Amino acid sequence: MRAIATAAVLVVGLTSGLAEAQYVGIPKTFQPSLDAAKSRRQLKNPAPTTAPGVKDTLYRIGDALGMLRDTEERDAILTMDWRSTGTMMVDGQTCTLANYRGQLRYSVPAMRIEYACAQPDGKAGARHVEVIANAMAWNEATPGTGATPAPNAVNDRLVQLWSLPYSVYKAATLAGANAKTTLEGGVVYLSYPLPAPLTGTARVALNTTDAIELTMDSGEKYQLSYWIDRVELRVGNTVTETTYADYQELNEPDYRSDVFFPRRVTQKRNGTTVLDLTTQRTNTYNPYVVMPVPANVKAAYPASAATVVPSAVPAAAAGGRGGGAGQGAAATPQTPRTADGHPDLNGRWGGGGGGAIGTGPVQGLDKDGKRVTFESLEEAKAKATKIFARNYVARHGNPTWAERDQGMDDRYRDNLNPPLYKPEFWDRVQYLDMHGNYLDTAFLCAPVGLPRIGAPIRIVQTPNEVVLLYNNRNTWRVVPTDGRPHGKEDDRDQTYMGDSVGHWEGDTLVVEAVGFNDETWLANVATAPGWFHTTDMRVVETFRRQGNTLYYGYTVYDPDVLAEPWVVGPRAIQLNTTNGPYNEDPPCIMNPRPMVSRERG
Amino acid sequence: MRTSFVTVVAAAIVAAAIPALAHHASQAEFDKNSPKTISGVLTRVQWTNPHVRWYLDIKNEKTGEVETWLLQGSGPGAYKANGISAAGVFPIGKTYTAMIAPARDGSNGGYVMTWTLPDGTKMDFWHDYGDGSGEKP
Repeated sequence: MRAIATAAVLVVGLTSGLAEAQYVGIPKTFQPSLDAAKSRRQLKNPAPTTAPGVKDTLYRIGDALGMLRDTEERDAILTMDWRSTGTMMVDGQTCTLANYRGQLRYSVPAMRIEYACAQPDGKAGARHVEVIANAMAWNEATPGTGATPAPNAVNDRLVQLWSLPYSVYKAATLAGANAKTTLEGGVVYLSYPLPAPLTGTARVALNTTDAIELTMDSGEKYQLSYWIDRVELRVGNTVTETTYADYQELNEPDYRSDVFFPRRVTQKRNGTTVLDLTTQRTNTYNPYVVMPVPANVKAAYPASAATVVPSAVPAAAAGGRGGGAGQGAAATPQTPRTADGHPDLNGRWGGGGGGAIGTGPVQGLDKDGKRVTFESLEEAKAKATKIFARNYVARHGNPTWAERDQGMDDRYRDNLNPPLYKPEFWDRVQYLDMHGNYLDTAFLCAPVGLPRIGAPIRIVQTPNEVVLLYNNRNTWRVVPTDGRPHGKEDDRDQTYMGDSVGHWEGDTLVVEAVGFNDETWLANVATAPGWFHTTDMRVVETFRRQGNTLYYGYTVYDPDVLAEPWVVGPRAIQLNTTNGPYNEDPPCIMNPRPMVSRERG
Repeated sequence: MRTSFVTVVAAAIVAAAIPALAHHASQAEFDKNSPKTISGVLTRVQWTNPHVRWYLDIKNEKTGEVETWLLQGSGPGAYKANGISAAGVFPIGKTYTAMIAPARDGSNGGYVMTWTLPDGTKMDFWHDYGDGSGEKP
């Protein structure tokens, strides 16, 4: 009991406590998130009489856990963070946990477990931090510091990682045709070989009878079922049997993700109970979780140990948001050059990415209820039974899910290549992300700044300067390329876009910007999940034209907070040869109503 | 069961045109689970970021007073990409009907799901159930 109380204090301290101490203006209470479903009810299905197919089984497992998001119903689980209490076998002794925190990053795949046993006086004892990243295991003094390689723990930790419910979906998907379903005594079992380098098998018992029936806004009813009851991993002579129960939404009530987590976990190793956990709180919104491999750990393993375990996330969706192909661009091998011999960067670049957009065609429903595109509003008014003001499709026709899925997807994409902060800032990034509705100054209509603004939509190049034009907030930059240094420090005091100077390195224009304020957040594609920076940030952008393609990338240097420079891109942007108008970006006017929850989408 | 993703490409293009904006979930502000229908005279349209705003004069049946309601939508870029402009679609001074997700803080306002224009045209601004019906059953 004492251990539970201590852990609860820790969790509260990390959320509301810090909020009051460090940040002004965040309400102490939020309204709970809305339920995406109109109603839910528990029901019992009859036991199946035949084994369902593997594909169908995996779909139901993933859907029930909330892994499959967006209209594509694609596995969107990248990272996770959870806090639990309970008991654990440590060095042959059962310890009552004073605290326990788990973190996952499936792209590596990697897991960090941090815990301390309660001392007789109830206080937390020595901190244990155990990490596995691909096939490299190590222990840390505190998360991200003081690493000691732990080569003997590789297999055990991989077994822990692959025992988790989400891992079942991912590993069985990786197994492809080698995954099988069987029906034994009315119970559906899923079996598959474990991913390399483990040689062993997984056998998973599914609960197909308990179901939650959801009624959606559209009237559609559908079921969540196929709960992962028991996962049995057999590696060599060791059988690890993990039992899961009480699947629930365990995120903060106003930060729902609709990813279910098993509140109760027990684990037996060759029949002996080694783990008995109750989980109080999760962050399943693809939070900022990193497991960088320290140099001394890397040196202790063969190079293959960094890649032998397959990545447990689907291949990245093509392109990020903010890219946008230009229209009418034809690839030419010849790169146009200006009179001084540099590649000619002049022109309109990309269809999106800060680009202006004219008024487009109109989407609507025709008389047969089919979705069609009309040339003009007049035509749509004459022919459509209904006009859509925006293109919008939601999973199971549910707008709440559309936004929640967007939040999951954005963080999924962003966190595939996050800036690597120093360990002491990891929790801060998570906190800022969770409270983005209040702390992201873009919500206060402040400029988004560099590099979040992305690539320019138009470039004007002269022998001595390059002018970069952005649609976003009608922003411009004049970048001298005549070799002059940055302006005096007094002149470049804390700006959003920085003081920029450029020079040519061969065919690449390199632009260095300094003199930033610390009001903005960095962004990878579209969102900015708490990625703060200091006033000492330096951004180096590269512009390289090849044919009619512009390659734009940037590197962020901020050694006070970043453990290493953050490298983004370069990504390809096409020359846009359309001659449409540039529209003024409408001004940003602050929201008069307060946010009542922390959900973003 | 599985919805098609034919229009995902279109949605991605729209998203590409509005980078670097922060998006809170509209359900952090509006209750989409309790939609209601309101009618009133449109007095002002603000075609601004991050959200388009409409001001409607609506008579409070209890007090008899005319109150101003502030309705909100998505960003102007998303509408513009779909051929919806302020000048072309929303002349002021006429009576409009809107199905809205009411503000969760209880203030006079909401997020527009569907507009019914003065000429009777119905325009879906948020609610699309994937099957194309776009209507609350």
